[in-house]
Amino acid sequence: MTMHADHISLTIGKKQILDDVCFTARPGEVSAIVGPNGSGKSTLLKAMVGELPCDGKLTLNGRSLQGYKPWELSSLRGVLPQATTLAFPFTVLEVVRLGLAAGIDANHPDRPFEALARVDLDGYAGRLYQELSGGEQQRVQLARVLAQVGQPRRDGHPCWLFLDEPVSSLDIAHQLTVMDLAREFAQGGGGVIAVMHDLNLTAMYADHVHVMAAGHTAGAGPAAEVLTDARLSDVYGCPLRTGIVPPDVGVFVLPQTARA
Amino acid sequence: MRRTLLAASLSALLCSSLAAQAADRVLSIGGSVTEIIYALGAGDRLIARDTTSTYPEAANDLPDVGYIRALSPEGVLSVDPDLIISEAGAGPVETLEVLTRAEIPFVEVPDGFDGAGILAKVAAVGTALELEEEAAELAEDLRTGLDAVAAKTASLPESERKRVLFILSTRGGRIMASGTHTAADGIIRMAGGINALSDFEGYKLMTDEAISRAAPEVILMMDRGGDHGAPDAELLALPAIVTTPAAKTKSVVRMNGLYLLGFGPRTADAAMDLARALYEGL
Amino acid sequence: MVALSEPSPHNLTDQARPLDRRILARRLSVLLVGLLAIAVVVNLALGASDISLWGALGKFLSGEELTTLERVVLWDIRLPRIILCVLVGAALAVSGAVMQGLFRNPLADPGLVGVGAGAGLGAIISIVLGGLLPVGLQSLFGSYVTPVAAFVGGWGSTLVLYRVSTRGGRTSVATMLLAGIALGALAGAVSGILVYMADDQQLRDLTFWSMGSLAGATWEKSMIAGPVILLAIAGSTWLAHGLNCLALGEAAAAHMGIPVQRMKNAAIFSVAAATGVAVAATGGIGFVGIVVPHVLRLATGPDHGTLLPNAALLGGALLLGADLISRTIIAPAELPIGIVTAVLGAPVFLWILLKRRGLVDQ
Repeated sequence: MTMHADHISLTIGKKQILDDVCFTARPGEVSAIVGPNGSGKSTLLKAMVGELPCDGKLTLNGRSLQGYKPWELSSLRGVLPQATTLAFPFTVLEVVRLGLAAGIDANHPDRPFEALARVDLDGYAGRLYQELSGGEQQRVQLARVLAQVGQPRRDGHPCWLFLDEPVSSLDIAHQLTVMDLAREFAQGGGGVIAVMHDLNLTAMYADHVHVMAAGHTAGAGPAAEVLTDARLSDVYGCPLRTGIVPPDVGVFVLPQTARA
Repeated sequence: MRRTLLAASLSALLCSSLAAQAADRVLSIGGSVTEIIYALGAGDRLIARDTTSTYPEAANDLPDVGYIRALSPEGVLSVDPDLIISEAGAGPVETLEVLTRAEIPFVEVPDGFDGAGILAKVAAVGTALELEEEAAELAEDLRTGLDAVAAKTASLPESERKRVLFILSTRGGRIMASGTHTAADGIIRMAGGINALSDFEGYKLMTDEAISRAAPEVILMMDRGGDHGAPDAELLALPAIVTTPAAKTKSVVRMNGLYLLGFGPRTADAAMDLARALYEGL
Repeated sequence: MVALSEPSPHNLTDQARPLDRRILARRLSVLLVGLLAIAVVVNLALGASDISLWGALGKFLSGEELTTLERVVLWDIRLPRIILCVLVGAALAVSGAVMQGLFRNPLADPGLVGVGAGAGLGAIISIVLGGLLPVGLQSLFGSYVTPVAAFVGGWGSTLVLYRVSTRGGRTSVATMLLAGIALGALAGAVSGILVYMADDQQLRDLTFWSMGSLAGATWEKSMIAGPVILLAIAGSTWLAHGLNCLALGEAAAAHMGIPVQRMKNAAIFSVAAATGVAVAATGGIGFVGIVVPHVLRLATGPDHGTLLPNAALLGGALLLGADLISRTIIAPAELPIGIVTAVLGAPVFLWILLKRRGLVDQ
């Protein structure tokens, strides 16, 4: 009952974006994919959800991904893209309701409002999506995904959230809100796979970290084991130290302080 | 006031009794048919006309049911005709089908672009209106005029006959000209000219080279406004025409379209006018 | 924290609940049904001929014989024309809405799937070269040569476009758009050659065809067009949820359980069928496909579940209105309906562009 990607390779044009990447995420955990720009993290996520055709084998809950019908997958797995532009002036409520209709649950009138409340968008239901800020739009999309795959488990099987940079355009408070939601989902028995840029949030929330560098896997395992000085300095190409308060600096703010 | 009313009702009574069986609500479609009906003295039986019927002046006061090939069924029915006389080519088919269903007699007059064609038209219209005698008289008159033109032009030696190019329009610098089997071709022949374009039928858009190769000595056009009539200087400066003999002698003849191409009662006069324009001193 | 299935801890007051636009749209549907019914009655009652609908109805109900004029005008002219008009208006408006959903662009048009260009080419070929058809074929199609050729041309070009833009089972909407432009240019070029070959009378026929007209409406045409258009519209409403999800992008729609490729196929072919038949029956009628969905989106939002049925109703009613103008404004002659829709639609279209430019400039 895992999300397993086996020996994934992917080329776009002549450029090899992913080279023999193996990835495993377990239910009950938040798995983070980190790495510098262009290392292939988002591509790996897109390959795993079937958006980009790739070589290798993908299994979800023990079944080959190709074996699922579209509607089976949509009630088992929600995917949050980096950013979504809408072609037409839908309201926030209408967008969230689209997720509800895609899921397997009955068309419950309260569900979209609950989902909006969870991403701290109470009272936004009647607003036009296109008139919201980038961060608000991202949270609306998360609410839509939550309306689609609301429960961490269904019929004894874990459900999955695939989040592509879910906190990239959010303020720090809402970053914490969203990551809390991801953790809850995992604690309820579901699986969360998130592409992350923020290493502090990753360290805070991820049970499992997968580091990408130039299309290869540069390390995978529990956060404490993977996020080492040597590996981070090597992968990001600048000297980084973990768990050290740098001397002689004025102000710095860590998200950890909000949950300490 | 009272007297005119009386006179009007009297004449109406007289009319309806005279034409008890003959149609007296006639819709005429096609300029030449309308002209013939007026020439037969039956103009008062007309209740409507098509867009091309613009002569005589009185015809313009009648309701217009539209273009001959795009007639609207209800438009035609709304003028409540008990007889429709039309030139060849009326349409669309769907409209004609409805008219059949409405049991309105529809007479299509054959087309013909020579003297015999005109006489046949007159006879057909006369029959439709039950005015055979009047039609025969009119035909006799017309035959005299046509014979006179034919006699004059017959005297022209073959070598003096002019090559005439009929241009229907010069819209956008593209020239639409007449080949054979058209009214324009017919009138050019009747006037003793030679159609400069004889290797195709109908009116077509021409390439510039085809026109200069045709080497017309005279250019014939309709003189109604809009895109049909470019000023002479502009016309003769067109690349297609500037090389032709007609451009060198500035020979452009313009005549009223319906008069020139109608093939109705006035055609003998039109042919004579054209012949005089082509050949001085005829 | 709680799972979503548990009762929400938030107090959801009525104030937090915005007015559901679906309810608004359903109210609008009722209004539009009324509008359509009124338009049908008005079109049946008014026209160039001056007969009384009520008089005829009274006679009909009391079993009296109708006059030939009443029978022909009401039964043979106005009624089939009204039916064809509603069908064509609905087909154009729904097809426009579906295309806009598929291309994710509110200015998309059924013409984008090549139907217009192909149908125009088919019509030109039949008008100019119809005389060259074998006599057997000519008598088989009779006066329907041009509609049949327009339909075949419309479908043919859609198939070509679909083939060109589908690779490995995936149809690229962007490729289709560009290929459509190329195909339109090609059709234009071939039409240009044919125009050179055409004579004056054929050119006039062509002009009238391209301006569109319902004057040729017959029971046969309505009966042929009816099932195709109704099926295509019914099929389109089944696509509504998919088109809504597609507004979020193809990938997002796929993750929401939409079989995207099958939906595209269904959308393209239902549009080709409906507009192909509509254009074949009436010639070129513009702007209905853009203006009707746009106005409805302004009124009740972009949800295709309500947009598509309302577009069918408003499209039918609007075209009836345009046809009424076309039939009466220069009676007893008739203005081609394509001219009426262009005169009414073009300013609205410009207004849409201006409004959208305002949005883009922000």
